[in-house]
Order: sequence, then C-alpha cells, then structure tokens
Amino acid sequence: MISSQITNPKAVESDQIKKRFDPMGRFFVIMICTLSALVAISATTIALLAITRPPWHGSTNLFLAIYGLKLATDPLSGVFLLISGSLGVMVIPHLYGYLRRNHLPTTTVIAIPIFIFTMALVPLANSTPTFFFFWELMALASVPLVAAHPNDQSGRRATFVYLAMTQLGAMAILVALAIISASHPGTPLAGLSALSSRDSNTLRSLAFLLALIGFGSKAGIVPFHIWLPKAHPQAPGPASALMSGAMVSLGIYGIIRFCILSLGTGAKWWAITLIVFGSITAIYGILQASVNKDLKVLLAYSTAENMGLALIAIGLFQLFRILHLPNLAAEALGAGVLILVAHGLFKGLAFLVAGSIQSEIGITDLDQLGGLAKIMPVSTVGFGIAALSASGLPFGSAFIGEWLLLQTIIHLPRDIGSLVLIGPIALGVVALTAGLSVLTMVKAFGIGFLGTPRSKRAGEAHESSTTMSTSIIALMIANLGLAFDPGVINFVILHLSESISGVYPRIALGSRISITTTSSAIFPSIGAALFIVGAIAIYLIRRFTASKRPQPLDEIRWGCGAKELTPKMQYTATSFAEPLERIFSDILVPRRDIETDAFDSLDLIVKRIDLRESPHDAIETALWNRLARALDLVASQFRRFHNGSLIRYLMLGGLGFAVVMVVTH
Amino acid sequence: MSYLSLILQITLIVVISPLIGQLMIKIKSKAEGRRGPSLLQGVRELGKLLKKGEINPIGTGSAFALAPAIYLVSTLVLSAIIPLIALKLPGSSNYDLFWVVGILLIGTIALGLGGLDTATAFGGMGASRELMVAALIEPSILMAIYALSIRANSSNIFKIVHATLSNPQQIASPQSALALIGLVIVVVAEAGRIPIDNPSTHLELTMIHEAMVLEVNGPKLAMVKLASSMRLVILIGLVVNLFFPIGISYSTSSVGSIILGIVALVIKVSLLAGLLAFVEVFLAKLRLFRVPELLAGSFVFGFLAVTASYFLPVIKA
Amino acid sequence: MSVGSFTSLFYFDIGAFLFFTMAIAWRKSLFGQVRLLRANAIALFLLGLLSGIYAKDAALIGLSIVILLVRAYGIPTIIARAIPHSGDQWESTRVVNTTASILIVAAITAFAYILTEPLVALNPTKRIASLPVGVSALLIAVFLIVTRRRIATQLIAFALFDNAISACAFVLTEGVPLVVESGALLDVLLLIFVLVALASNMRSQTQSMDIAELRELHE
Repeated sequence: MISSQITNPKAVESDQIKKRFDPMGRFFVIMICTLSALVAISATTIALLAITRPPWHGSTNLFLAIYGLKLATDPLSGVFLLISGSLGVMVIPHLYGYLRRNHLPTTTVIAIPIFIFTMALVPLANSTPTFFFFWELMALASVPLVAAHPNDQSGRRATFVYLAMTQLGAMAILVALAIISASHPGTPLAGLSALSSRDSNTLRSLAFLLALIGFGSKAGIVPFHIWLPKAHPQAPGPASALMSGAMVSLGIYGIIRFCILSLGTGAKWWAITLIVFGSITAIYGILQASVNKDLKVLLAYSTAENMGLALIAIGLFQLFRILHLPNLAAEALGAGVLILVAHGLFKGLAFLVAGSIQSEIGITDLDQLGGLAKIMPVSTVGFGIAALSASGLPFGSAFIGEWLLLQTIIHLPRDIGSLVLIGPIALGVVALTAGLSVLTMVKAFGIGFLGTPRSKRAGEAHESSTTMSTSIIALMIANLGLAFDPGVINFVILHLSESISGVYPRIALGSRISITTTSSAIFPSIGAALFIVGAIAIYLIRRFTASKRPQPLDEIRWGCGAKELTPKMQYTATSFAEPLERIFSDILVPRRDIETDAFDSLDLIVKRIDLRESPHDAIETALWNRLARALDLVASQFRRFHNGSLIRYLMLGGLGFAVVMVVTH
Repeated sequence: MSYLSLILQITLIVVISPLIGQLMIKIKSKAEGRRGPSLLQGVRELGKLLKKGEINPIGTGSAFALAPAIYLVSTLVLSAIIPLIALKLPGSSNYDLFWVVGILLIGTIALGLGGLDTATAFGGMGASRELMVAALIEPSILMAIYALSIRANSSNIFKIVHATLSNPQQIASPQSALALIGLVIVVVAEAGRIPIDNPSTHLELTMIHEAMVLEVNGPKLAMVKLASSMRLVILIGLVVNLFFPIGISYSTSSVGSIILGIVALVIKVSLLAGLLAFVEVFLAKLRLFRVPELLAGSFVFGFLAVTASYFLPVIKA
Repeated sequence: MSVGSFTSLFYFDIGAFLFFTMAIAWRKSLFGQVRLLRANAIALFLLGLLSGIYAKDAALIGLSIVILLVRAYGIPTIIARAIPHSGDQWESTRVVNTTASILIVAAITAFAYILTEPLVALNPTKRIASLPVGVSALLIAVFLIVTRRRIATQLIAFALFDNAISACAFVLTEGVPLVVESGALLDVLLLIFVLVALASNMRSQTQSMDIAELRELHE
C-alpha cells in the first residue's frame, strides 16, 4: 500500500484531495465514536467488578438456541477485559480525529465498535460454544479493519492472509474445544480444571497442541505470526492499536484459559513447549523488527516479540504449577500479566503515533521519514515514551514486567534436576530480546523522528489534530503511571493469583517494586529523582561557567570536506540495521541483489553498482509458501473430480453417504 | 554521614576517572617504549574544552543538544547506586544489577540518538555500531548477573558484595572465575576499549564511539569525555568489588573505614585498569563482524557459570 | 590435602580443561589450536596428578606423567607437522561459523548435563559432579570432527576426544589402570602417525589439505 503510494504520485494526489474534500460525515463519526466509547467504558467497569468482586455467572437463551449464552466473570477474564476496555477508552479521541481526516470504507468504520464489543465478550464467555461463538465474531469483526484499502493489491493480500490465518486458528480451536467439551458437556469453563485430568493423556495433549496453535495464531506466535506484519500496516492507526494492544493478548488469554487451566496440570513437556515457542517468537520477532524499515511492520513484529515474552512467563507459570511451587507460579503469572498490560499501553501508544503519521504524512516507511521532532512534538514525545517502554528500560512501563520475569528466572530452585537449564536459556533469550529491542526502538525513534526529513512530504507535515493528541497524551500518562507506580494494578495481580493459584505472589508492587522473600527491589521514582538532581547540578555548572566561554556559533556539520550535507547522506533505517542483518543472516536470510555495470568486459572499472537488499520473512517463504503450493497441488488433483458431470456428483454423494453410514454403524 | 559518603563516592569517581584514564595511556606508552603524556593531561584537556565556545551544527535538534548531558547524568547516577567505597549507602536497597544495566543503556541510547540527530553519516554509523554492540552485550551481562545473584539469592549489588565479604571462599570456585571472565569481556566492550573499539583512533571508518560524538564539541565534548572515563572507572570498580571487595567500608559511620574504602578502591581500580592497559598493548582491534564471536564467548562463560552454580555442589572449606 | 581444597582445585582444573577444549572451537589459527591442545593435555595431567596426590597413589602419578609426555608433548608435536609451514595456516572454511560454533558448544555442555544427570544422581559425590564436563569435552570433540575441514583440526579433535575419555575416567574412578591407558595411548599415537603420514603424503601431491578439495582424489 505504502510503496504503491510512493511510486504513483498521481494516485497520491488524488487520494489526498479525496481525503480533504470527502471526509466521513460528522454525525456518523460522532455516533461511531460514542458507541465505541460506551462499549469500552462498560467493558472497563465490568472488568473492575470482575477482578474485585467474587465470580459471577449467568446465562440466557437469547442467541444460541441450543446451548444458551453463558457468561461469567472471574479475575482472569477481568484482567483481559481491563486491557481491552481501558485501551479502548483511551483510543476513542484519536479514532475520532482519524475518521474525521481520512476516508475509510464504511464497513471498516462500522466494524470498529462491533470489534471492541466482541473483544470484550470473548473473556466473559463461560461455555465452550459461547466462547467459540464470540471468538469467531471477534475474528470476523476484525477482518474489515484490515480490509481498509480494498482497492490495493497488498491490501487485498493482507486481508486474505489475515482471514486464512484466523480461520486456520479457529479450526484448531474448534477441534480443541470439541475435545475438551466432549468429555465434560455443559461444564462451565471455570470449573473444567478439576475434571479434566481423568481424560486420556494423548487426547489431552492433542487438545493442548491444537489450542496452542489456534490461540498462538491469534497471538502471533512464530510460525503463525505472518499475518501481523501484513495486517497492521493496512489497518487504520487506532484500529491497529486495538488489535495489537488488546486483541493479540486475547490469544494469550486463550492459552491461559484452555492450555493451562482447563486441561489440568498437564505434563512437563507442555510447559517446555510453551517456553520454547515463546523464546523462538521473542527472538525471531525482535530480529525481524530490527531489520524492517516500515514503522508499522516494525511495531507488528515487536508485538510478536512481546507475546513471546509473555508466553515464556506463562510457560514458567505452567512449569511451576506442575512442580508444585505455587509462589513462584504466582510470580511468573504476575510477570506475564504485567508484560501484557504494559504492552497494551505502550504498543497502543506507538500505533496511535504511527496512525497520526499515517494520517498526516501518508508514509510510514522510516527511510522516508525523519525530522518529525521539530514538526510533530507531541507525537515525538509520545513515541519516545512508547519506545522507552518497548525497549524494556528503566522508567518505561515494560521494565516492571520484564524485571519480574528475570527475577522469577534467577530464583529458580536448585533441586529440580536438569530443568534448571531452563533458567539460563530463558534468561539468554529475554536478554537478547531486550538488547535487540533497544536497538530496534532507537532505530525507529532516531531515524523516524530525529535528523532531517528524508522526503518532501515528511518535511511539510504538521502535528495531528488536538483530539488525536489527546489520546496520545492520555496513553503517555498511563505508561508513565504504570512505570513509576505499578501499584495501581497491584489489586489485579493479587486477585488474579489468589483465584488461580490460591496464594498471593510474593511481589510487593508499589512505587517500590520488590520480591518480598529476597532483597531484590527497584524504585523507579528515586532513580528518576537522582536523574533530576544530576541534571540540575549540570545545568547550574553550565550556567556558572557560561560567562567564561565565547558566544556559541552555528556552523555546518563535518562532511569529510563536502560543504553541504543532503538528507540523503543520513543513515537510514536499512543502513542502521545492516550490521545486525549481516550477523544474523543465517536466521534472517536477507535478499540481496548486486548488479554491476562495467566499462569493459573484464569488470575492472565499474560504472555503477546497484545494491538492492530487502528483509523478508524467511519463515513465510520457507514454510507457508511451500505449504500453500502443496495445498494447491492437492487441490488441483481434486479438481479432476469436478468435471461437471451430474452423474459423477451423484455417485460421489452416494459414496460419501455410504462411508458415513458404515463408519457410524 | 551516609549522605556525605555518597557525595564523597560520586566526587571521588569524578576526580579520579580522568587520572585513571591517563594512567592507562601512560602504561600503554611505557609498554610501547614511549614516554607518554603526564598524568594530569586528562584534566588539562577537560579544562581546555570547558573554556571553549560551543558550536551548534546546523540542522541538529534538541536530542543532539541534550545527549551529552543525559549521558553524563546517567553516569553520575551510576556512581551513586553502586557500592564502591561503602556497603551501606543511602537507598542501597532500592536498586539491583538489572537497574544498573538499564541506566548504562540509557546513557548509550542518549548518545546514539544524539548521533542520529546530527543527520550525518558518521553520527548514524557510530550509533548503529554502538547500539549493535550494546544489544549483543546484553545477554552476556545479564547472564553474568544471574551467575552472581545465585550465590547471594538476590540481584541487589549490595547484597551480592555483602555475601562475598561474609563468605570469601565462594570466590575461589569455577563458577566465580567463569563469571569474572565473562564480566571482564563485558566491561571491555561496554567501555569501548580494544579489542572492541579503539578510543584513540583517528580514522573515522573504524570508529564506533568516537564516530557517534564526532559533532560534539566544547563543553559538551568535555561532558562526554568525562562520562566515558567515569563509566570505565565505575565498571572496573563494580567488577573488583563484586569479586574482591577487600577494604570496602562496612558502614558509613566511621571516618577511618571510609578513608580505607577510598584508598582500597583507588588501589584496586588502578591495578585492574593498569592490567587492562598492559594487555591492550598486545591486542589489535577486532573486525566489527568478529565482535559477535567475542561476545558469544563471554555469553558462554556466563552460561557455564550459571550451569556450574546449579550443578556443582557447594564447597564449604 | 583437605577434601575441600582438593575438590576446589579439581573443579578449577577440569574447568580449565573444558575451557581449552572450547577455545579450540574458537581459534582459527592451526598452530594456536595445537597450543590449546597442549594446554588441554596439561590440564588433564594436572587432573591425574591431583587425584594421585590426594589418593596417595604412586601409579596414578606415574600415569599422569606419561600423559604429560605423550599427550602434551608427543601428540601435539606430531600434529603440528601436519600443518603446512608455509602457506595456509588458518582454518577459514568451516561448515558452521565461529559464533554459531561457540553457541553450539555451550548447548552441548548443557546437553551433557542433562545426559549425565542420572549417572550423577546415582552416586552424588563432589567429584562425580564434574562428569558432565568430561562428557561435554567428548561431545565437543565429536562436533569438531564433524564440522571442521582441515586435516590438522580433525587430528586435534581426535586427540581431544582421547583426552576427554581420560578426563571422564579420572572423574569416574581414580583413573584408568596403567595398562589400559598405555594401550589406548599407543592406539591413538599409531593412528595419528598414520594420518600424519597420509596427510603429508597427500599434501605433497595436491598442495592442499581442505577435505572438500580432496574429493577429486577420491574419484
């Protein structure tokens, strides 16, 4: 979508004119936003009640005539409801601004409140049919969000890939749910855990794997992540904020609810499988994020990375449950939840800024951005905070969750045999991920917002509208709030772990975060205070010595003798990540074409060298494209039966009927 | 008294780091058969830079203007949260080693963003390389922290140092040796010394750190130079105190023990810095793309240290 | 010598043994690899010497001196002769690149821990806790034989394999009986003699020692 806009300036022009003169009707937009806001606010309210009040459940026969609609709340559903609800509330002003400025297909716009509504219903479902019903509704409601550019080749492809992955996941989930509910028909989801262990192990393991695939495809777990980098650039900014911050987390909700709680204690290899998938996802996701140059693709891959980290925490939670270490399990779960909450906030913020850029400039390719700090100050500060959080550094919201995860890992008990090797391996993964995410976020922020503009359109942009900035500022405050006082969600962690493990985690969350049994602690506000004191000291010294110095001068930059430095001479996102791409070339397999044009036949004097290098998803080409071709081949074999002969169809129908009769007999 | 010793510790680091940096240059020069500059040369250079007028490169923004200050402040903060001269400093229970690593990274990032903000090829190149090294160090450094925190059952630095002091024979174990080697490589990489980076290079294409700050000048350059040498001293001090905390003051109440702590720190840091400088004479800078090999090696040391701590029985002599 | 200081020294020495083994996977210079093999054998010698002094066993001390002579001096010297003194002394063509090699070596060590866990659990003495180190050295040697192409490195890996077996023997028991050990030593020595003879013969014919390039000889 983006590349075609760049290569086709006329289309861009007409698109812009369309944008300016054909905005969505004001009344329509207000209605959509009010509706979304109502849904989001009530979701947040229910979430708070669900977490703090004792579990509630109810049912109605309104929609699903056979099974009835069964709803329930417990702290686990409350947590995920809280993530989607609160993010929904904060995104609304941006949504209003975005819709007022950009022309989107009506289906996309109408789908937004429905999407928020279904997202809130998924964690509330209390029976497998109800759950699947809402799950599919949510999946369907999110498809129009991706299909925001139906006239575009890559837009259509993204929709197709998204739909395919969603339905593949739904199929796996359906079978898993069928296995689970077949042995306990009508049992509410919350009560399943006590019963399940009497089932055969093979069946349970099958259900586990299928549920992991199904929910993993929603959470963007490698190798089911391929829809993320395709769908996010297509969806409008606020919608991708919701999809990445909230919907993707619901995949993790499914894994906790079904793979861990419903299926009972399970085997050790289940936990190890979760950790392995989490590790692969975290590293692969961040590696791809670090070499990609489109801001939204980068953020999409970083979403996969964060889900990988959360999955590592969830896997540790499962492992500790199996090993009967309830306290450590509660800590691991707390770490996972904090990672998810923080991810919702900072990724929501980052995608909103990306949405503002998309709406104001129309480009999200970092290699054509730059210098936004001077023209879009609010967005720049917003992205700065999001980037600080995303890189898992102190004073960022993700630091708390990652710190707790690291603490859980380093306090592994000694007496669990060779399972302790999970400790150093998981720590290595988390550390490499953290290091690479720092590089990725410095790249995104430094190339996109600092320096000088790399294209004309980036140079002529303005700050997004006040309503849009309101959302960005709200999320900035939320991020900083979580970073400096995670005590605000202490009650979430406490209620959640009490309801699931029966123990309180030994985490003291507040402005000082500590593990109560050890003396490990951090205190972000004091750290920040030290920074402020230091900054004041340096400022005073500079003021004091300023009189002894000559006046400052403005001079040109050093360009090895060149007088004028053009914006083209800056480092780009591609060149910034090039060393990394080279180091990890075995995993990333970058596509590189070098063409040389020589003066003579001996190639001694080169006239011109063309180097073209682009990152691509090696897993996509190696696994999915091959799979698609294989499917195509099989399908073409089946086509032989479809020759239009009525007699053959009837015969096949009869044959099929006979087979069914024989099997069921 | 405890706040006084905190201020004393910060001041000490600020004062001795230019001297230690110069000591390293002196030792290298002597080993190469040159006389080398005087030990006060570093201080003189800082003074000269402070007196110079600032030059604002056209086209740079506030990130460039703020980067040196943030770099220096993060380094000052580091010097306040690490037990260098005394075990009980105010706020000592509020930070751990992961936090220290985070603060280190914040300084690196500030300079990297400053480099990118200059919108020149050198700034970007330096930032890209520095961040790449920083990203690849992360696993090694966290693994070493893991290995250290197993024996103290805490990642709090003060607790780790305390555990070492109360049970010194723990140090004479393979896991400690492995963690020490891993950490030394990390320090060398983090401080940008040979074989990762050459701080005295004058060839732009081989620079990492120096390319990033190519546009920085005057008092700002003084800040960057001071902070860089402080980081080296702090990191060396951290390593010596994690493994050989001899002489560190137990409390902040007696003046004598604090003076002893200061003297011990200066001696230990000078010794290790001198050793590093002497070894550097025999090394050449690695190719940038061989740096990952070294860092992978340091990661493996940390990894083995952790595995050994779990699998080897605890020796009580 | 007290139990504590013996165990501590033993751990350090076997740690050094593993370190030199791993360093061979890292070094590219062939002569450097030979030097590391020498250091490795010296660590092995110290392992035997320590055990001998601790158990007050003269035979064991004698055995370790034999090890010193043959493995730290003899075998490396012979292998060094397989390296061309002029020309390519670097091992630059590898199946697996260096960084990956280092990480794989770490993974092998972890794997060795899992592998030997039941054995160590059988008899949890302090000395046997270092069995994984011996086993991982063994596996690393196999890994080197598989992934390296230069004949010299393969010889080194082969000698390493032998050293690792002896290290395992020192950890598991008080050391292998002298007769068995000398028999094994002679085998290895003979093999290396044959290989070196072959290698120098081939070098004089093909001027190259890269296994990939030797394929034409086979045809």
